[in-house]
Amino acid sequence: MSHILTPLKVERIKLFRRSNILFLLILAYLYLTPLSNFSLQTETIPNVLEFYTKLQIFLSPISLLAMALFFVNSIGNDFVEGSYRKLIAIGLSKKEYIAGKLLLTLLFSTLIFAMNLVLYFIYGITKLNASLPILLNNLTIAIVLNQILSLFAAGVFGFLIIAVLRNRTVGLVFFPFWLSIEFGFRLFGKHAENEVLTTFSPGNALFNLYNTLNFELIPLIIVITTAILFITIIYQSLKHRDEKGQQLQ
Amino acid sequence: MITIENVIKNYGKAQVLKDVSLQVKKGRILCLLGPNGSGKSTLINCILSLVKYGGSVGYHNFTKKDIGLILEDEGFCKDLNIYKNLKIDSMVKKSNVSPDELTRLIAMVGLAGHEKKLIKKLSMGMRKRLSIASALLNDPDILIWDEPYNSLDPEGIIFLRELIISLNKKGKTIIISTHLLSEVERIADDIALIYNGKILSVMEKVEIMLQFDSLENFYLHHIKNSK
Repeated sequence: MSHILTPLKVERIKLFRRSNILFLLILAYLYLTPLSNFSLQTETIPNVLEFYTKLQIFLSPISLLAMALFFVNSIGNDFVEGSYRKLIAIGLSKKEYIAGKLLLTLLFSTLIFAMNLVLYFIYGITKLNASLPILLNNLTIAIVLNQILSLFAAGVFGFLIIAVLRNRTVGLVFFPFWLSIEFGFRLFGKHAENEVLTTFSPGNALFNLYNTLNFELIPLIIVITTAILFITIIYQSLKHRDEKGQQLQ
Repeated sequence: MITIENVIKNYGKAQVLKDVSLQVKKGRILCLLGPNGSGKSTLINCILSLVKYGGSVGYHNFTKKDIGLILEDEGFCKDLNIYKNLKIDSMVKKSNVSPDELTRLIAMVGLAGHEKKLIKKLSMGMRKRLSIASALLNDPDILIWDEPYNSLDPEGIIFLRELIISLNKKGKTIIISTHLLSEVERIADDIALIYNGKILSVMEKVEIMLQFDSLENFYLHHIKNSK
């Protein structure tokens, strides 16, 4: 057990570093600003379930983007500073390193899910005058699993980009750019009545699963397959790459 | 203790290590001596399996976690403090070092009172001292130090020299890469001269002194002959 927990303990220390906290504050700002727009829309929402669905559709792109960007920034630090190279040199295995990051991604996914839940409760109670039990009625195990899994896969997507490209700036620019491409796929899908891209492209697959209210096999399988594929690429990319020092780059 | 056999390393079309074979004996100080770009750091990267290479490197009765390491790029988290960086290293090495022991180690390398200082606010010399503290975690039997003298002031160099000698007296095996002839002359038991990715000569310092009179003569003799 300690074998698995050591990388997570290392990640816990690294999580509270200044650059991560600053980045989290920026993400929180980006996250909260559009909510003022959403609160205007709540005036016309008739019932709690519709309200919940609209809130999740509203929050999902921001949450997924926040996950990917946070991990690009956080893991990017390891490559920019050479701390990844040193940890590998002093005995952390690449599998342990990946396991630590994946556990952190899972914890962070749960945290973002919890934040979205708190927003749902706050909005539900203040805007719809709904009681907590009524709000909780809409929350099923399927929703919890779907959302945490899609957030986790978004974090893994961020890990993939930084592990392969090893360039934080490119990674940070990539995701907003990628979001617009995925949005283009969605528009194209609607226009051409072709759902291949909106079903299988990574961002849309995560969005679909995040907003699925029941256990639905197809979006679940697509996201699980995508996550496994990403983790495999991450491992292979770390395994086969030379870890030269900056002097030898 | 470490056996390096026919190690080859290419970066693209450039061959930076050419059939390097070397034995590191237990309890001795081996200095990898060579000019900049000769392949010293690459050889250390191969020993630590940080890069893919041809040939073989054999460890006898120890693992990577038993090595006390100084890399040319220190690899510390720049916006974490000294204490937390050392704590991370000790966790990775699974060394169960107590907080008091970490503080003692920090004081030993001359960084007492700076425990809460962020790495990015340290001078290069202070970072090197922290690298030394990290390398001494776990009381390792083997130390591999890549360019440990870089960025150290004269006081730091004297401190490091005395530390190396005292560690060696305790039976530690030490590999040091450097191009500082004066330091090699003071501390080395064995010297491997590396140039253009080739080992030109491996000799005991005593032999070198008998044969060439000085390390400088040994160095210039081999480098000139290989040009």
